[in-house]
Amino acid sequence: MAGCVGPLATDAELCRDVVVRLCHVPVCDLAVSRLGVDADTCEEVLLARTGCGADEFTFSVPSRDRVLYCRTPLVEAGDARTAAPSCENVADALGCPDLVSFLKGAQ
Amino acid sequence: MSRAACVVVLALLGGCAPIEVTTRTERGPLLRTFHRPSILEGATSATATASWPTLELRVVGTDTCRDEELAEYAEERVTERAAPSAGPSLSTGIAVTLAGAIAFGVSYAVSSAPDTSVMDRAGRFGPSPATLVRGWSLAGLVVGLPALVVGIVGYLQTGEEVKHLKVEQVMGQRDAVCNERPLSGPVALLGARGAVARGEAVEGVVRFDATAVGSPVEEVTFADREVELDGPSLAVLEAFAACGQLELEPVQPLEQLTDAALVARAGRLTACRRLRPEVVAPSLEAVQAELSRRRASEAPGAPGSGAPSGVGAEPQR
Repeated sequence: MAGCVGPLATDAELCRDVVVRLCHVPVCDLAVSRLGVDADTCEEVLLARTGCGADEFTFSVPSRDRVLYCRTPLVEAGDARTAAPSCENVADALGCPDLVSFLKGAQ
Repeated sequence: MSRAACVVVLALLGGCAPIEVTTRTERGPLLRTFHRPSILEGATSATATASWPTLELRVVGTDTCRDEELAEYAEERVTERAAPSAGPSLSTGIAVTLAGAIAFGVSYAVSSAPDTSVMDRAGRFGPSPATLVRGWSLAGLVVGLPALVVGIVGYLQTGEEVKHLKVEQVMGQRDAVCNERPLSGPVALLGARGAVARGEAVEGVVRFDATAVGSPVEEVTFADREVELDGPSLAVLEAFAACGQLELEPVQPLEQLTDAALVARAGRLTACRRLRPEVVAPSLEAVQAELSRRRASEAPGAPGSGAPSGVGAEPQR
């Protein structure tokens, strides 16, 4: 049963997943301060900045593998999107400066 | 390659089905009774006669004729093979394999869309319902197929085999001496230290001269096989050997012989008397008189020893 997995997510879906987990309510203070977002509009702002609201989005800097690496703490609570990461997990994920830059709008 | 390995593993699993085998024998009715004659190796025997100075042996070979009375019975040998685990294995195999096959069929009717509410560390979505159902169906087939094979193999090997046989039982047996025939070949008279004399039997008859037999004979052989002798023949042999020894012994005055030598001489004279009573009797009387004299002189309170001269001397033969 461990071999039952689905297909690879696209870059856009991966990016959206990162945003959803970071903006999971209640949004951590560190995410608010480091990313310069509002708790109410966290998802919309980050999707707009990164451009991964479009299905044809692809990673350049950071690369997909780098994003997956930096995303690892965010899935500690579980693979389901509804599993909220702890603020420690968020802090670990935002410990990647290139991910932070990407989420702030730098490409 | 992996498919071939799976087939081999399934076949090996089928061979692991334990089979219980029990065999019982049932005796049937009496079919017939009959006689079976046979000839077994017998013995070699001889009879000894003597007419001084010649010893004659008649050597005879015999067989043992055996007559067996046999009864023949019908017999059934029933071999039963049972596989106690075949039933449960077969039912489990059928049920689980069927469930696996049905699940596989159903997997094509359910959604193939991946579960996008889940994304793992590698960036993969969760499996679709179709993938999950197919996974369970495969697990069922992996468990069910070997059980099915084991159950089928067990049922195929179950059964009963009956062999119809005829067996013989010996009811009685009679042995008799038969085929008596004279033998020709080497004959040896053996003493304590080996061969005393050797001869060649022709048409069963061999003769020995007194000069050739000078010591006691303990055994007679024909072609290195022991020859059976009856009581009278043994006595004749003993007498002949004793007479032969007496012929070879130097004549000594009796008073010069030790007690042991005197007793031994008395024994030889007594044995030889069976063959040569007239010749031996005077000597035997003299030896016995000397023995009596010696016994009397040794008794407490007896008069002093010393026989008159002339008493105790054996007459010349």
